[in-house]
Amino acid sequence: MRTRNRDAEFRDFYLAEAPRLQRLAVMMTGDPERAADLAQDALIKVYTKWPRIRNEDPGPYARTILVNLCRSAYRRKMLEMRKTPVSSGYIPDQSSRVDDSLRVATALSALSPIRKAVVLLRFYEDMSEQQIATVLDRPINTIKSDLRRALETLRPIFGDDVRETR
Amino acid sequence: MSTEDRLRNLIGNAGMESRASEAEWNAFARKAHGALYTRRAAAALGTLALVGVVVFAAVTLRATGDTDPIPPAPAPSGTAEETVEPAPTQEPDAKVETSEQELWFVNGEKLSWSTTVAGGGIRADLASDDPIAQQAAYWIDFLLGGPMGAHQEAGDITVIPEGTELLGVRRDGETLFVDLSSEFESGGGSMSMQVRLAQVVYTATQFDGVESARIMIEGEMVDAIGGEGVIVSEPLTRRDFQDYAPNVVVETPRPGDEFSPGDVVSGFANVFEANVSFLVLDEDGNELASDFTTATCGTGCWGDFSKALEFSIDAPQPGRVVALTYSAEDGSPQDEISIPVMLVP
Repeated sequence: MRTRNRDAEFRDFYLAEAPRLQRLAVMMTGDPERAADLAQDALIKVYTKWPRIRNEDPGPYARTILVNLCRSAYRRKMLEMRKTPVSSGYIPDQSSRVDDSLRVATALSALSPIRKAVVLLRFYEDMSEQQIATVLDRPINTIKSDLRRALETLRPIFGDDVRETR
Repeated sequence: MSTEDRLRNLIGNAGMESRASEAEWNAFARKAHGALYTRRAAAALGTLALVGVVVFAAVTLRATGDTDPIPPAPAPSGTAEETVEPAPTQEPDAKVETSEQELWFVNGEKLSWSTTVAGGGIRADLASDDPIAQQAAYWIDFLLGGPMGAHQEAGDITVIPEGTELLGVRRDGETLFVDLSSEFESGGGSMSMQVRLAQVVYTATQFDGVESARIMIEGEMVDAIGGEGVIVSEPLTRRDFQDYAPNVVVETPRPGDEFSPGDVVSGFANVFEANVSFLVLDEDGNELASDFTTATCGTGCWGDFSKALEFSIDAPQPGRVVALTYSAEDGSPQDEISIPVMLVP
């Protein structure tokens, strides 16, 4: 595929998806700078694979790559991330001028990367559990379990009581 | 308000829609073009390196009159040894010593045994304090590049998808953890998945102390790979892929091992009447020993074999331990696996 044709097709995808992918990465990592790099790396991988995926919906593929990159980055930076403040007891401050994506990242920092991804794909990307299972290549029952446990973990962080059930 | 609703509100505030700017696209496009050209250049360099190897080999062979860059051995069926000194990929300070190792490609529907001589620089991110892990990383990375030179001429192919990258290798006990990029899972059916796994597992388990390989994808311990759901939740051994193995597989000795009189050659085979033959060759290709044994099963089933080989030498020297069978029709050698070893009195 010629680069000019590839650019013409990929440009629309990039313009629409790049900011959203970057926000997803910020919410996954809590680090805007690293998130920008990871989102760019994911988009470059999508770009280089474009001839093979252009006829399918490249959006889920891009999210699969991004989540995998974020999880890999998490492992590499695990020690560093352990030093970040624990979010237990965190109550979102809506009046804060902190970037909203970072606020989400902080609220979700008690979750493992995979559960963070499940939550974000569900509530940010508005994906169904089946779609999440496809993107993360995990059984749907595992996704349901991850989601339930993630909400259980977040409940005291948000100051909720335990009346909810799913 | 439920936790779910709070999450929706919080995340909804962060999710205000916007589009990237033209300036951002232009900046991205420059980087993406660079990545694309780098990949294309790497592919082109691979082709040029292949041409260079062939030309160099031709010139060398004419100049020396040799027919083989290493001590001669019975020519492997359908495969050949290849001498390649690839250019260092990135960091010159992380190097793997030149050695002759197995690269497992595919011929027909079976794994194809062959060896290659190579060594040199290794990508900085694959460098390791563990020399076995670093050596394995070098050779697995080599495998991912696909067949070149003599491998190609022999008709070998790889079913590992193009673009698969080696992200890391580490060793824990007898298991080598091989981290591959997600491209490894792309395309192909169940058989393709099995064979590409077999290529990695066979290549990975030739190194000292490595009995099995655990496949990881993008840093994750995965339970299965591909849409076909090929199970990889446990470390995999060569015996997990007997359906795709050549008729004779040698498990000991391994390439580079010391081999002394009385040492054992062992492995598994699925050959006519279970008869497996062996040769020990000195550094000049002279036959030091010839023997045979009967595997525990044969002619349609896999059996184990093990045989202590007796031979005599005066001094340590490079040599080969060869396992093979002889055709029931014309007695010609076949199924040859020729392991490069250091013969020690």
